[in-house]
Amino acid sequence: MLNARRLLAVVLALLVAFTSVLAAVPGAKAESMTTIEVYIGKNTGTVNGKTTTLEQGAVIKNGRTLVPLRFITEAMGATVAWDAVTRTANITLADNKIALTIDKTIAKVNDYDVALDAPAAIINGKTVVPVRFVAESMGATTAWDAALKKVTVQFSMDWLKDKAIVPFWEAMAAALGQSLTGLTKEFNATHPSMEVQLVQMANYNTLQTKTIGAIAAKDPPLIAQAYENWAAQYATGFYLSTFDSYINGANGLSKAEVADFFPKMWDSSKLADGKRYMMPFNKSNIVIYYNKDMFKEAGITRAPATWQEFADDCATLNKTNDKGEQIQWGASHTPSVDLWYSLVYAYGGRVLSDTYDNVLFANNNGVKAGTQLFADLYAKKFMHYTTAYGDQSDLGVGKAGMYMGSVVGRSYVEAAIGGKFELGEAPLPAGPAGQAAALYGTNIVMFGNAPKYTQRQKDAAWAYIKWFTSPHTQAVWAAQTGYLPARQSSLEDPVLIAAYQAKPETRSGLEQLSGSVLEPPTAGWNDARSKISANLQNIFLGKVTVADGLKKMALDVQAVIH
Amino acid sequence: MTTMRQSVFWNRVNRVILYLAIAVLFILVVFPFYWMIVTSLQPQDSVMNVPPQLWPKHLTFQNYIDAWNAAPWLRYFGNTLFVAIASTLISLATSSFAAFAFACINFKGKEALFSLVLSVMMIPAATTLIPNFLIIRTLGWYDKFYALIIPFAASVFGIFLLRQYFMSMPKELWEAAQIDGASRLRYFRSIALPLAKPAIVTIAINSFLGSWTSFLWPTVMTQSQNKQLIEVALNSFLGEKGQQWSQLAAASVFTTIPIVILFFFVQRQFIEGIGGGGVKG
Amino acid sequence: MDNKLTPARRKQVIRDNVAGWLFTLPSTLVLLVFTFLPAFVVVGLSLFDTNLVGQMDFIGLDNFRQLLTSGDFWGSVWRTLYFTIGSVPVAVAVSLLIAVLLNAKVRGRTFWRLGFFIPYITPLVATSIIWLYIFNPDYGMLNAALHFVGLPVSRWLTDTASAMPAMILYSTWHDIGFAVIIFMAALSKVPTELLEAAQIDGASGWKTFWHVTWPMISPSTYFVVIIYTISAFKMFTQVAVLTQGGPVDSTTTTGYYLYEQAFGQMHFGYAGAVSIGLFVIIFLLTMLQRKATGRRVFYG
Repeated sequence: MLNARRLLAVVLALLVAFTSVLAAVPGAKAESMTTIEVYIGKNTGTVNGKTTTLEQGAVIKNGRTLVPLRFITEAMGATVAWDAVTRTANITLADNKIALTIDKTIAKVNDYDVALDAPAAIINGKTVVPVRFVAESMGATTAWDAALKKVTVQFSMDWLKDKAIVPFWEAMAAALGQSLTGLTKEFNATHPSMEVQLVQMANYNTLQTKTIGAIAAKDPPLIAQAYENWAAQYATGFYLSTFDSYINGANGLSKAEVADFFPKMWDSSKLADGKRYMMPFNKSNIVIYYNKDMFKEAGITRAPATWQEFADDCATLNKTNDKGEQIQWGASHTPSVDLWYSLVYAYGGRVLSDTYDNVLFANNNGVKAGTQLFADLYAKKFMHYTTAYGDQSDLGVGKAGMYMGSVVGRSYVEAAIGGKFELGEAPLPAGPAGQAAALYGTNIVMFGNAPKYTQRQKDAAWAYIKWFTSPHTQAVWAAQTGYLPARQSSLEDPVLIAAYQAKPETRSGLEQLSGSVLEPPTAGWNDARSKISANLQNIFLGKVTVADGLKKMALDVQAVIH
Repeated sequence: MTTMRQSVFWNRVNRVILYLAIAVLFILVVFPFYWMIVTSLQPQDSVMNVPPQLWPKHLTFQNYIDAWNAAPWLRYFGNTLFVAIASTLISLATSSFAAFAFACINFKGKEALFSLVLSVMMIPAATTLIPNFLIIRTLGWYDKFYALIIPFAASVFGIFLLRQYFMSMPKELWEAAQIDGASRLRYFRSIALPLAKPAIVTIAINSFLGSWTSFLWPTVMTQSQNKQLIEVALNSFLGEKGQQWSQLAAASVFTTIPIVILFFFVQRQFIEGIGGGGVKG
Repeated sequence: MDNKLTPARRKQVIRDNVAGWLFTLPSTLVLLVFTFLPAFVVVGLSLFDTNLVGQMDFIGLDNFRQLLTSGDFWGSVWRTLYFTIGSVPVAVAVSLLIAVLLNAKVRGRTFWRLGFFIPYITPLVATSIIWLYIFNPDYGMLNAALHFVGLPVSRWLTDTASAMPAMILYSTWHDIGFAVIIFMAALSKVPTELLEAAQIDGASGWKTFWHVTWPMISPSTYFVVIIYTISAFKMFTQVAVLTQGGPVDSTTTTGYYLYEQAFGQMHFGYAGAVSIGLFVIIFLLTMLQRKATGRRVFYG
């Protein structure tokens, strides 16, 4: 028989076999679960239906429920080693270790420090520990029944082996990625039944096209970064889920916690229809970075406070050589929709109407004036027209005195500068109508309606998001990356206080937060952004006048927003 | 009428001009590769110097180390190799069978089928991209290696080329084989295929090259990082590294070298295959 | 040969039919599923406004209506044509020139030929990266070289007017190797007697080329033009890597526009309509080319 033919037959047979294997759906495994119940005020505890009397029952301290240590650990099958000298309980379950010290509000989970609202204590000679903390740190779930004043802990050893996987698609590169990875590692270590898996995309553009492709292929991630307008796009599919059930659920956010979010950020996580499809994740705004040495040399004493000052500074700082070639620019700028958006508001204009379906900037003199300012700077070559991160590198090599970039870009700018000169950072200049900075950066969305994800996975995703947006984590995140913390109480966290003290100018982004403007959370805005960008490029390259360019931009944008 | 000496002189001058012209064009065409290598050996902080220097002052291999460590290149190479070899072997098999049938067997509907096959060349990949996405999704092959191999299991170019070769074989060969009692299959395997070896090599190289350099298709049909192919990975790398030209150049070099090396070994057959087989009217 | 089919003959015919179909089955199956079936699916798809998950509204021919009136679509078609007309003749001319030069009994032609061919076999993304660096208007080699010889510099990929010419330059550089090989082979096949006969008749080099060589290699020329035209229309990778369709939309070819509409905007139905539009245009172009050159190709 012919070898090639046989080979072909084998290949085809393998193909059929593989495809049928792929089609097989893995069956659900039966889990051996332990259920533990304790009641506040009663001295009993129930394990899998069997009730035992406790010498010390569950109590509430500082709003947290404390339960007897021995009871909970034995019920879960963990071992406890008591260190009398330090008064520390060392709890071990599988590979996980928890160290709780009496009256200390910091505990250790798998080598990470975790802050407690209520520390372990000794009551009636018995050690009681915060139940939610202990349970979750060992991989269990807790639920609070307010009517019965009951805490239910559920646990299965299977959960430690078969962790709830949360695929998280993000585009945090370099230093940002390192920070995210570090924080995620900490979450995974302190929540042993959950595992958040970061999938890093090359850039935001790729993240969007990949997510769209994945949704279309019915294979989306569980959580992903998304701009508001992307979320609006994704919401047209089945898979995107809202967060309300989690916020109001058993492991949710209290009213105080919700109020603790910066209002602008909390608002930005809703879509135009009012549904909360997002949670804040990495919000930032644009600030102005400048070369302090160059400023000093030119006799400029501080960062420009108004856009007009900005233009004047550009004129002062620009230098040409005798051949007429530009050797130094006042500023470099890659035309950006977000900056122009801020500019519009600073000049008293509006981009879209409140219902997001009408263009308002077409004939606005403020908008024209602001745009003209930039156009003139480009035309006179006081400002260098750059693409991509060319503006950042210009500042870094000392060719431009200023550039507008995200608060988060600071580490990149510092790297580009390499210590050659002193870096300054300031809020965006104000226009005639005041100071306005667009709040941008992404939120997190959850594709909770995708059938491939189990409830355990979704609960784990929420646990991660809740943990990530908690005050301490946000403080660390902000301190490491420069992102704006989502929680107001993060400002009282020593980590963030120290970071701001070390580099006081990094508060610039925060200072602009209360006056920030939000971009439209509609799917049409995505299209509109590319129209605005295209038209801005035409205007700033000098191909059309500002008036004509804005007119065309208005027409283009009007055509795509719906 | 020019004298003998004059025409010899002019001939010499002509030849000098000729070589000069070729050399200039050659340098222009090959320069980007030279530049790729030089840039990869330069430290990052000198890549944006103006004016750029043809020969760098400092040489360093650090970029190769950094670029290699920045992504799981070994995995990407493995994926690409696997996909390339698999699709090449399968498409060779299907193409040679089909080509032989078109060339040497008289069967009903042959002409119509062949026209159909040819017309495939008219349909651009862009047109069938989205519907193929749907088809792959329906088959459950999204983000699986099947999606990268099976759709390329047939090659119109291969069928076309091999058909030419088979058709150019004299009928006497087949008649002689028939007299010897050989079956069609036997003839195919022992006589026709070996004779078509140059074409087979060309097609194999072409298919391998196509897989190695594929970009749009894998971008759309896969999402997992552990299934990435080399070109897509390189583009992601570009997206990440932005202006770090020296690392980007290093990555470009080490993703290109394997294919260039392979080419050195097979260049003669490939070039002969293109030059000899594809031009018949 | 008798008209009647003897039993033996009939058996042979059946065997032939079976063999023929069996041998061609694997190929045709794959081509059917992944090239023909999609052609039908895309027609169906184009009648909907869909994001492929959940939203699937039948809108009939509205996508086509939008297509025909879309400035973006026709702009992309125009740009694709611009690219094709800009790159194909240049590529053909340059590669022919190189082939002619190399054909003139130069030494080491294998070596030279290899050098010209290397860009063609190197992956597009890798070479695009180095050209991205070369094209940089501030510190790239190209502007540095132009500046050095006193020629004006260009903004290349960063300016709307020069972006497409930059694309053409890059693509031409990448593709010429292929045609050089073809032309060298074709040139070598031109019968020397004809050339000698022309020279004896007193024809100059140029006349010989135009009246003898050019017609003799016309099948190759035709082949190269067709191949390059089709690949020019399919172009995608360079755009995705070098400019992502920009600056503004000056390098958004129809292929890239299609991708953007589908995977950037989730307008899969509309993208389907664009796919069909693209096909129609390529088809018309190829027909036109056949008509225009049909009489000029000499098969000898």
